[in-house]
Amino acid sequence: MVPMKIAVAKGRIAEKARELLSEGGVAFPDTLYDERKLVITSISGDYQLLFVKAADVPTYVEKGAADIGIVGKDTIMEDGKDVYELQDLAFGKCQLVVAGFPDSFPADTKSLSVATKYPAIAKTYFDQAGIRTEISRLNGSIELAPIAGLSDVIVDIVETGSTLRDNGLVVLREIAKVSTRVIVNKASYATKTAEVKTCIELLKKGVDERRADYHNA
Amino acid sequence: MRNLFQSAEEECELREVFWDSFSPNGYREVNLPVLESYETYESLQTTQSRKSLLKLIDHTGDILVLRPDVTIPLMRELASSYKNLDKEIRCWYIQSVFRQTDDLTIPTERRQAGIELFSNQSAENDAEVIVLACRALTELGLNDFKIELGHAGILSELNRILLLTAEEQLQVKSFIQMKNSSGLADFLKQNNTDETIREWLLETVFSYGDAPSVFKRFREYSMNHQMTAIMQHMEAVYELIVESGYENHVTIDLGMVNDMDYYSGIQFQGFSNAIGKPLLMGGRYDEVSRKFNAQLPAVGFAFDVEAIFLAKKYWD
Repeated sequence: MVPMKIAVAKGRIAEKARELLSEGGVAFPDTLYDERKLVITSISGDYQLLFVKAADVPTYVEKGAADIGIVGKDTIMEDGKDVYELQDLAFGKCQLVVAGFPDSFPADTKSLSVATKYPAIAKTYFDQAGIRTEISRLNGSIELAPIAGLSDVIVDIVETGSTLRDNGLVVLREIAKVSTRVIVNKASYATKTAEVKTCIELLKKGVDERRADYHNA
Repeated sequence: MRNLFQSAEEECELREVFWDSFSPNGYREVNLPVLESYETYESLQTTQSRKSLLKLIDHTGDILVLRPDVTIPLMRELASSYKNLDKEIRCWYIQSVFRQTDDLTIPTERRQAGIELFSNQSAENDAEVIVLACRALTELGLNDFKIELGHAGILSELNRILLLTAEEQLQVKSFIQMKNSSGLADFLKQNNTDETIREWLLETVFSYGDAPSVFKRFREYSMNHQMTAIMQHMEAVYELIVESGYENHVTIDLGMVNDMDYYSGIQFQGFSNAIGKPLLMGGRYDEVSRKFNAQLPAVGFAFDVEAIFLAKKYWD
């Protein structure tokens, strides 16, 4: 049979997805997560995990190379791909924010320079607020941008805010709450509805049980 | 890179299938102009789709567009000769359409093939078009296809009940389009929507699956006669599809949202297991002809020819 293909971001999410499926009874041949493997198939052959870059997960799902994707809401928002966002797995929680020096974003701001990994989200947000922007797309160490004078503010995700604090930056506005979501290809949902629903239930159950364990501990 | 000969052969095969499948029901092939006046589309489309239009300027300085679809030009042509529907009109076409997108993998010129039935809304007419889509797909050898059946009236009814601003309507539409139930639930809570209505809306717009169970569930939740009328119509259409023997190919999607804003009644899209994008889209659009000062209600569908043959290759 054709396996259910699940695209996941390499690293933490990939490891978690494999664990959640294993706990739901989907066994994979290797017990340890191996960074170098790009695809692993469950022993039964029903499930296949594709390890890709987080930003590529929506592309794999939209084009149907994967039936399902597990990815952060930030990536979904930035990409705007035509997929279903069927389940909030409620882990990997963080916030998408505008950050900068405490005085960089006064209420009457008319224009800003922005550095970010998320140019599309930043543009939408500031356009809606009626603020003109000059957006620089960066790929890492976003917090450096205001310090080095590259931009007035940054748009980035923050979990605890410690990196911001260490660099003298603060959260100025919250744009959205982020957590890990399950996205689904539209054709897969139409042609394999039951299988897709089963897979999502499996992931959701795993997450719920862990949360219960965590609260009971 | 597409093979030139293959593309022509595919079109020939499709023409034969269309001829065999639709002629017995009185459908005739039509050809339409490639160039349309920009004004035709200016009033009809959203900003996003206006951006996708390929424009050129004629010697008088007027803006023209390369037709982005077939439905609108066909409607405009018919509306210039018929103001009302004296008799039903049945046509089919295989034509190129032109749209530019930011996605470089999507070619600007694509071929669409479909049918239009100019007729008053009735379960018989709506079902006729869906059954013919099934027949053509079957004739083409695509055995695994699924047709999702929805209704444009559900989203309009929802907007009417919730009294939303234009911006909020877009937000709600996007939640439904992505089947993001937790997002919509949060939104309705913030909007202070009455709890009974909230529960009912969430139950309705995320109903998806085989027809008998969706219809049954909806009957338990039904609370508004507008929605009941919509469901009765969908059930009647479904019954006729069952009579034609295609029920295994039909899934009900009460939360179907189409980017084509002009649908007013039943709407549907078709998928194959073989490829990730829709094979076809269709629906009823009774209001479009008003823009051309005519009363020509219609229902139709369009195949994405490239998608059809990609899926077919998988099955051959």
